[in-house]
Amino acid sequence: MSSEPSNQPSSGRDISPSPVRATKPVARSVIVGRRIRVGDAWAYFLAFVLGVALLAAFVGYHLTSSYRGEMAYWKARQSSVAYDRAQRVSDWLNERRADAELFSTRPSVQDALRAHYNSNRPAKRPTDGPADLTPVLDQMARVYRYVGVYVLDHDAQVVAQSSGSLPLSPLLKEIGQKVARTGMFRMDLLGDAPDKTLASLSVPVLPEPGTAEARPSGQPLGVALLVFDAAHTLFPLVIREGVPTRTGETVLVRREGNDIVFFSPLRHVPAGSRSREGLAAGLLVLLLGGILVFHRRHVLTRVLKQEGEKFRRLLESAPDSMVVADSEGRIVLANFQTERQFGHPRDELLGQPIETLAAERSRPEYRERFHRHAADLSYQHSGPCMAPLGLRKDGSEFPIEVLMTPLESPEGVFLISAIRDITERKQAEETLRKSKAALEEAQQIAHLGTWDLDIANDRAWWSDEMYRIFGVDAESFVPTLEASIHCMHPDDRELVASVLKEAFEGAKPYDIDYRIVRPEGSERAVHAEEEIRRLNAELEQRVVERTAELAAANKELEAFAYSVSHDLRAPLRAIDGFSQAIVEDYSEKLDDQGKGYLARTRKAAQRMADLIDDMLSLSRVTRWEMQREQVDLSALAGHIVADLRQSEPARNVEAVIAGGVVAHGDRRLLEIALQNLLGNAWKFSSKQPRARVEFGMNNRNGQTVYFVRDNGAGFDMAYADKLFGAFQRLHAQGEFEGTGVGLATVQRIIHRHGGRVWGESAVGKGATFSFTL
Amino acid sequence: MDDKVILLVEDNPDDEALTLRALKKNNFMNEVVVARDGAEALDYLFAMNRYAARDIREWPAVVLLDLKLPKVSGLEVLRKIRSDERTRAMSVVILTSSKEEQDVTESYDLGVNSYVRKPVDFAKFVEAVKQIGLYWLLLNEPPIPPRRA
Repeated sequence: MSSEPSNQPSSGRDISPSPVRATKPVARSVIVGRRIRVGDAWAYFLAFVLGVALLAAFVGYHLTSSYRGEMAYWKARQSSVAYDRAQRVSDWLNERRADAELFSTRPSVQDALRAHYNSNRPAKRPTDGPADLTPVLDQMARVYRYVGVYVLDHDAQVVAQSSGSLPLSPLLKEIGQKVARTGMFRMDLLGDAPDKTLASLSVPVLPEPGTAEARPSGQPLGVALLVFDAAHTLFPLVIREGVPTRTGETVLVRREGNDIVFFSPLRHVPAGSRSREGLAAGLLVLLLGGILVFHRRHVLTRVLKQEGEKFRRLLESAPDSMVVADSEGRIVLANFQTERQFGHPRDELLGQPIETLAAERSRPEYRERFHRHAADLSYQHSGPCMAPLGLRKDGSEFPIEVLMTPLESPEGVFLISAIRDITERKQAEETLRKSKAALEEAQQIAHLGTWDLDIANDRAWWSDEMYRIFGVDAESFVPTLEASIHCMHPDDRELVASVLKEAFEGAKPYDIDYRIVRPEGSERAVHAEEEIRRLNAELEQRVVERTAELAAANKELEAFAYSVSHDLRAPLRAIDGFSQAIVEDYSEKLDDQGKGYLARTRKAAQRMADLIDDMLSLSRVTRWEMQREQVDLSALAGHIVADLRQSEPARNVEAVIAGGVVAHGDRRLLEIALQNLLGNAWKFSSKQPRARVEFGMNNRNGQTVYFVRDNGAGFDMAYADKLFGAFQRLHAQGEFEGTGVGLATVQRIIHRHGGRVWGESAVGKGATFSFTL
Repeated sequence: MDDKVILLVEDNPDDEALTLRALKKNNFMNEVVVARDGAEALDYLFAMNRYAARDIREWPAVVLLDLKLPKVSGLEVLRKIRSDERTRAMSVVILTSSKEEQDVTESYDLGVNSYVRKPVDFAKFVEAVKQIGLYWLLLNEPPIPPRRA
């Protein structure tokens, strides 16, 4: 839209005449200069409104940021509506004007006028004229829905009129005279019919160049006057076309000097306006000489174009998705980032509930938070971030953080949600968590404890391994410096204290050996290296060294395992084999007791072989080089259960395996973990008449938790801490077989994945083992 | 096939006795030559030292090869067998205690015909030996040694 409509070129002839003032009761008119394009004129009107509003922005400088938000909302909604309608009105007017002009150049019209003038003189062709023109006018009225079509002479005497049209009113006569005098196209409102909104289009009938004229040169022959009912022709365009609205009012307004003229007689006929399908027409924000004149009704639309534009740009350039929703939670505005992040085109989002953007399971939380904000505006800026999951159009989910800020406005409460994609942050957190877990494990393997001391506050932090080395309980022991020294052998305390003191004061590293006395009384020799951390480089160096030590330890472990694997089993084979040989070859020399002893010997040998195998598999799990990939746990569980069924075909076990459970991890290790868990479930439910084994997945606090459940013997939660220790068993060998390595193996696998594993049960109530990855 | 020998490479006399017993219990009557370390196994196979008089082209029906052996390891023996024209196609079965992945992988990399882990349970061991014997002594069509020595 042009912001400088007054600069449109206009010839001297086209000076607009004074309009009919709004203050006059007779009529309200919009006068359009002939050479000014009607579209620009309307653009000028709107630009004026915007200009007015800008001034209002200065007046309302103190308005709060929430007000600006509101502006943006309305602006977004209204500017497109306003533009669209202005365009339609402009187009419509242009068409009508073209019609009228075309009509005025019709030979039949011109002939009729000439005949009219001639007939006023001594009649030359008395039969010509109006009688011939009526069918033409009737047709025109019918086709274009004109209430009346008139052809007037230069003195506004009716030369011809469509049949059924009213006699020319004094107002129309006055308009006709003006057009005849000025030769300008005009449109007028004829507020003289109580049940209609009549308007007229008047166009001069100009003689064809070169024809002999009855009128002085340059003077119009007459006037063509078309009367229409705006309620049937123009208003529907404004009300219904484009974006339908039941509440929005539309401004068709123009300033004339100190007056405002507006094309909406309905404003002055309230009863009439309400009777028209609830149309509330005409909105006006008017500033005259610095005085704000507000319309007496609600100001529904405030268009602050520049403020709105600023806000819009701000919104568009925001790195987060910005979504404005009304108090019902329907989206009324979304920025570009929203489109990009969620994959929804903006048009699709408008009018949708805000939780469209949240994953199914985050929706209740999202909705609840939304309504709390909407109900209590004091939540502004204080609302903590929440971390639900966003949902893209393609169905994929991603972690988001949402900050909601309410906006209060006369139209109700709106909420601006700033939605941030926190996938990367989550990943960073996860990486940190895993590296911490890995460090813990590394310390555990290397029997290396570390501690930090805040000297000023005598507050220390111990790594988990420290508690293990010192043999104290992490829950109850408070690791102050004094408490640490108290753990040491009495003979060494002084030495350690002085070395520490020196280290603290001189910031000198130390390297000492001392003894500690564990609570149960055993002594341990401890080697301590201490340094006041000044440089991270030293720390990194230590990490390198420890990594090398760990690698060496790992290699040693591997050699050990290899040796065990080869050498430890051979004697067992001999024990078993020769016992069997005795039974076979010398059975007649043995009584039952002797045979029984040999049977026990063999059984013990076999159990030891099992222990060795499990121990090796446990160490293998530690040494195994992990390769992460997508693993279909459902399929793995299915195969494992099938194997279990095959191994014990006589058992009838109901297995419930959830489909589509996938995880990111090492296939081989996860298979071993599931083998152990499902194997346990299978084993411990063996005494149930209707055994049931279940594998599935659920979500706890946004984390995926995998579980294996059975309805078997269960265990006493009092011993839950022993579950995952190697060679720990909660059942007698006679009750359930096993070496007690399975869960230790599972735990090691899960820890290597950076996850957590735990068991829940009650005796006789079955057990559930859950893990995260 | 009874005329063909079985070469058992085994350093542990207990395992040797048990393997022989298992073969006997399965009624395999083949002569069993026992080599008690890797070097001795190579002497036999390549007709060297105390086996110098032997015809190198008389292959055993199968070589039962332990991995952890004194002097020369089982894998080394296997490597030598596979890298020599004269013995390349010989049937070799690894019969050992270990099922360490590196052992299994390396053995197959070197071209072993089978890898069998000795079970502790003697009954199972007998069964395993029976299967080995059935396959390598009866079912399997033996490879033909090259003509030229």
